[in-house]
Amino acid sequence: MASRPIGSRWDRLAAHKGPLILAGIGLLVGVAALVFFLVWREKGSPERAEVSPTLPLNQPLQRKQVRLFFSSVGGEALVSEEREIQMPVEPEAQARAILGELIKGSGSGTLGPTIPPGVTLREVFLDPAQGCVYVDFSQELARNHPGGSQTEALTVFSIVNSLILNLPFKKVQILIEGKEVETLAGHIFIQGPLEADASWVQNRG
Amino acid sequence: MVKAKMNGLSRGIALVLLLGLGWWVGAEEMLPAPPEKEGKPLEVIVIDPGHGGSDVGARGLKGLREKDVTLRAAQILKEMAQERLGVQVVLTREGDYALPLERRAMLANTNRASLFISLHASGAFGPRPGGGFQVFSLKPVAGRQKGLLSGGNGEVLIPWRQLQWPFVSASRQLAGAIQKSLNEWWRPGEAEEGAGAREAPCALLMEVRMPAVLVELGHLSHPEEAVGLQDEAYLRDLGGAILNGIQAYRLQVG
Repeated sequence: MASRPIGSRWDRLAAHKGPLILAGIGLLVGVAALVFFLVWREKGSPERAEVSPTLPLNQPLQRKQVRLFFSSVGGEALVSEEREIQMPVEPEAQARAILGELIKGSGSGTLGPTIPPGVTLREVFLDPAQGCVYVDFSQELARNHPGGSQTEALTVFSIVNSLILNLPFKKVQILIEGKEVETLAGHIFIQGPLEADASWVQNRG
Repeated sequence: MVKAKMNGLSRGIALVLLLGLGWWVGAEEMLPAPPEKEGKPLEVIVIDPGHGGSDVGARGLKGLREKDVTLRAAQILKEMAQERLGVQVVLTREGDYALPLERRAMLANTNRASLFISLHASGAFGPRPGGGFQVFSLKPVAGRQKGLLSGGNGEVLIPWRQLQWPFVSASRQLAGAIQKSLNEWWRPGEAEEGAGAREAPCALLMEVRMPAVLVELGHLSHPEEAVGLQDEAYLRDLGGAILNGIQAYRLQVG
């Protein structure tokens, strides 16, 4: 039986180039994976592509004059205060910006707050078909509320009026910890969307 | 062909009639006036002391609690109303326990009361609240049950959450009369200068099927009113002013 002589040229080549070929294949796979990763990162994953239109990571801002409603000195009505703020473009972010300013309180030093201490805004959801914005607050909005029909009405309509009079919404529904509640402190009905109510607003001066 | 056209025409007319009915029943001022509203003597008044039990309500100066003030004020008002008006008075709660809003409304409805008066006192965010009284009647919000239901024989069925709608006008009148009387008591001769009655989407009043108001007796964090609201004589004066308002309202409606 004929056999390849030990130490033939083929065997010597195979013995030397086998590891080289394997290394080459490994290198090609690695480069391909790197290119794929870079392209994928540039274009974005399918999940990111769905999220980005509603939650842009870099919201452009523009300065805008807004009217916010705070409590009169006597606590019997709402009084508007004009303020220039950085306003995002996206409507839900705009609602967040307005409510953030309302939570901060009046800058005038004369008007009183309408939002109890410790309140945070959890989520904002806009339903364009109904023109209704749902604003979800932390439980402190109810738990820390001082109570009374009038004070409760000022809280509710400072939120509703500030949103509707500055942004293109028709109705606002207030949620607490993601849930509908009947009232904040036992008086004013908030278990459905509310419209702006100018009867709570008093002219300054 | 003609029959088909006639059917189409009939359906069109029916649709217009239905839409017309929907518009008609949606307008609160145009709802059929309930017979109880006009000229019926006062037989039962339901007085509702706001809050109670674990529901303390507003807190004021020196540990003053709304639930205590409203209960005492309601007890005094009950006694005075029985004496002065000769009516039966039912309190929604007789002691310090929690009572859901819907239970209060149910008590008023099942007692077939002529009037419903809910007593409250205000809290405030800051240390400088304005004083004074405030009487509220319902400002209806449509919510999810917009539109009334139509019964089989053309009668209008009113959902529970909208039971107050036919009484909005009467309640507004009652609120105005009590507000004016309170203002007059506080500053004689200057009643017109005082605050007017207000309308608000008060959850409690939505389910009450009679003229109904919510009276804020004062501010618990107002130094003078906080003292007054703990004083028996002051509460009797307040009660007297509320009863004067009820009597003025009764004269207005005949």
